[in-house]
Amino acid sequence: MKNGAIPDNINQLNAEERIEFLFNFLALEVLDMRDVSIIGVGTTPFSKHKERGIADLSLEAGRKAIEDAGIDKSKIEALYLGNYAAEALVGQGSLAAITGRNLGLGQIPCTRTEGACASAGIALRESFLTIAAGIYDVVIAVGAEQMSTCSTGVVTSVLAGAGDTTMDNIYGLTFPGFFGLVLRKHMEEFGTTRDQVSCVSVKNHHNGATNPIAYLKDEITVEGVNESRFIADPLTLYDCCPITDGAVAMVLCPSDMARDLCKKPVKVVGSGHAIGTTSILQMESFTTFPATLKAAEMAYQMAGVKPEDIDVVELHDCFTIAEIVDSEDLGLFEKGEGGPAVESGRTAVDGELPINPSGGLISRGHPVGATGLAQVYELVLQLKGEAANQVKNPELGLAHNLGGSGAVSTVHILSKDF
Amino acid sequence: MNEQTVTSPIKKCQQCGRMLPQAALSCFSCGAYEFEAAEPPDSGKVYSYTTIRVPPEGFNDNQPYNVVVVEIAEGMRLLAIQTEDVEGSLEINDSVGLEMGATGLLTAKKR
Repeated sequence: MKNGAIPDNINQLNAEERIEFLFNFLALEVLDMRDVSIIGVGTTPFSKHKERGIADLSLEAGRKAIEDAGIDKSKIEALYLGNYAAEALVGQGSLAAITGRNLGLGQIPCTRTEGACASAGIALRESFLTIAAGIYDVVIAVGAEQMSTCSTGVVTSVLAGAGDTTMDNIYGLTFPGFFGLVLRKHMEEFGTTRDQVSCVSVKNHHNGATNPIAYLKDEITVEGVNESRFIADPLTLYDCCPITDGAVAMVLCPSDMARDLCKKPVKVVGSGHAIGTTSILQMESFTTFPATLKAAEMAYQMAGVKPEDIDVVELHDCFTIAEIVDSEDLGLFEKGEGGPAVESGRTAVDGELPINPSGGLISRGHPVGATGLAQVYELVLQLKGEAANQVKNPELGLAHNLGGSGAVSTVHILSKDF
Repeated sequence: MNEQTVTSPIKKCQQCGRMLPQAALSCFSCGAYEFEAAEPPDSGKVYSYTTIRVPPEGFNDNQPYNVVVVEIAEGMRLLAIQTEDVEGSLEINDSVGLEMGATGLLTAKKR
């Protein structure tokens, strides 16, 4: 720790001042935080794995990540596993311990993180923080979800549980319904058009079609999205991400160690995690998510970069309109410019700022507890120059994960460290 | 307290007067934990709405319904359900009537 880091009146600060202080503390690296890098990644294909169990998926991803890192698994000191609803969807709790046990990691602490669709972003964040703080050297982050073995009605009900059951869900509000309300408002406030929104689905289907791990491989047209059946008007079927199974894992360690272990380590240069609103009735505006704004501010500040420095983005397009709102909340476009940006091709793989080159949640699929790490998996490949839909020479990538009805968000900024 | 007060879907923050859903545990505006009884207004303005065509298991007998966000004062909103005239009857900024429905939910009716 550097001199003069802690003010004398630290004990007199109120909670908000303390958080502000700690936030600056981390961001300014006053504390002697260690740099952290990703040295290995692994994923299952994203698909409907009806014949497999969720533990089988998390094991496959974990094994691949450890193999990719090329380290002895006895070096791993902790596991963080993102999962939203394995108890409700497949009747299996204790998935962190089960995954640690199956991987043969010994009696290390294995912790499950839950933040609805942002569960895996939180697993990455906790892995990063514990290494940065010097508690562990090598940590594995895993995210897994199995959804396809349940009916659409059951999945809809379980996902709705990520919203407020006492205030919102009693009115029959579902997740597509929540984003239907957001879409109608975004159209009214900014003149966002049906075609612009459909362009998100067209672009992401196009990207997913050539991504070997993506679930949906079909291209789609603007008319095809516009004319597909309504799920929650004005949202149509192809505005929605599909029900998908999958697992992703990655191994992290201090950057100093990473450079010795790995030819192409990818450094986590910024990390943010914040809550926002947990009921739609708490939202001041329907066209912005405060959780994203705060998590992004934290990550940008820690990394010392601005939105215009980012070269490639994987963000939380659980529905088409979410991609537009997220791209504006992350500061990549002005409010109301997200729709025109995607329509004019600025966010295509060969555009000025590629968004979701993997196909995003809409085409890669959205096994909710795995998605946060699936986004980072794509960025690691992009920064190493090994992605299926390779963006030209990216230096900085940003991953944005959003859970619940704007309840929680994580933002991570990654940089090449080679 | 009369029966109607007990079943009201709404209550009011004792500190700042904000209307809140009955289930709120702290005030959305000022964070206070104390509330007093309140009745919902009989009308409001449509802030946004959506037609739910894939309901949660069994909800509304699996028939489509509208979830309507109703603005009752600047920045103060309530949820309401509309189960009649679901198709194409609403626009943002329309005035809607609010009633207590049989299910204990606030019901929106096009005026």
